[in-house]
Amino acid sequence: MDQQLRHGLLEVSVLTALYKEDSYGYRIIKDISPYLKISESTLYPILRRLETGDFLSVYSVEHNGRLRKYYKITDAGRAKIEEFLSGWEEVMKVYEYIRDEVQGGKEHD
Amino acid sequence: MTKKEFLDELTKQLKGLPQSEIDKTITFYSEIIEDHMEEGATEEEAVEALESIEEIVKNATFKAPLTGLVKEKVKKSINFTGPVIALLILGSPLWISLLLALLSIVVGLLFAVGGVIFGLFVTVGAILFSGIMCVVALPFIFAENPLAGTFLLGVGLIFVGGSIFLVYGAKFVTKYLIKGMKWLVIKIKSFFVKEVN
Repeated sequence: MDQQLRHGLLEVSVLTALYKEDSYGYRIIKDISPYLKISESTLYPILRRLETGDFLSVYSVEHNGRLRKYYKITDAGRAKIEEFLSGWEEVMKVYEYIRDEVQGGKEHD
Repeated sequence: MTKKEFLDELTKQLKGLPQSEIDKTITFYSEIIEDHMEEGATEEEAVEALESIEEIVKNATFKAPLTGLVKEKVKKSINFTGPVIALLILGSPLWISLLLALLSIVVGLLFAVGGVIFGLFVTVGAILFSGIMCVVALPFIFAENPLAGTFLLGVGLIFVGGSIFLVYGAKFVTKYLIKGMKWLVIKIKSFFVKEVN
């Protein structure tokens, strides 16, 4: 996959992992991993950048006698997901066109 | 490796980043290890599952702005007391010009690489253009002198064909030049992050 595309997908995926409920580093990696390969050292800068851009906020909660950082999606973060979804509708149409043409072509052979 | 060993080593390798940045990074990895252990992994397994420290440092360094790294390096290595400030002011003609020289080397290098890439594609473009022109001029030359016309056709086709191969060559060289520049940026940055042995 193209690096830039991968990067953009990772950002939206991280936000999506927070869409339904707030989450923490380890769980975000586990939630995204089935779809996109993500390591801790990739996730960390993404979380920082999303935090700086106000797409998510951070708070700490006591858990088993230690502090655990939770990430919460902001309205701007939700808007970013919406933007992604509407932008990709167009891409999916082109994808379907390409796929159908190629498959139709193969059936003709 | 135990969690403590891992985090100590990571702290050591991240020296050079701002202290607040180091603290946040260490907290992040410490939490990941503890969450993994809560799921039943042993301490060793949880540390083992992480990437290598080198990889983590490389990613952290590449993402950090160079200006911040330089500032941190200067802050950590020099105490700004009266005599030091006086020395800095007195020595400014020297260190400012040295700094400018260093900066111009970096900028010059960037322009040189950019120039090489630009030159490569212009050359390939020129060869392609000459080839096309040879073919375009062919009917006129052929009418005058069939032998010269045949020669021109050959030359034109060689140029057009050759330039197609050369585009791939130029792309290949460009890719490695850009990779080389990225490597250089990481090297320059790691000079500020890692302790010089």
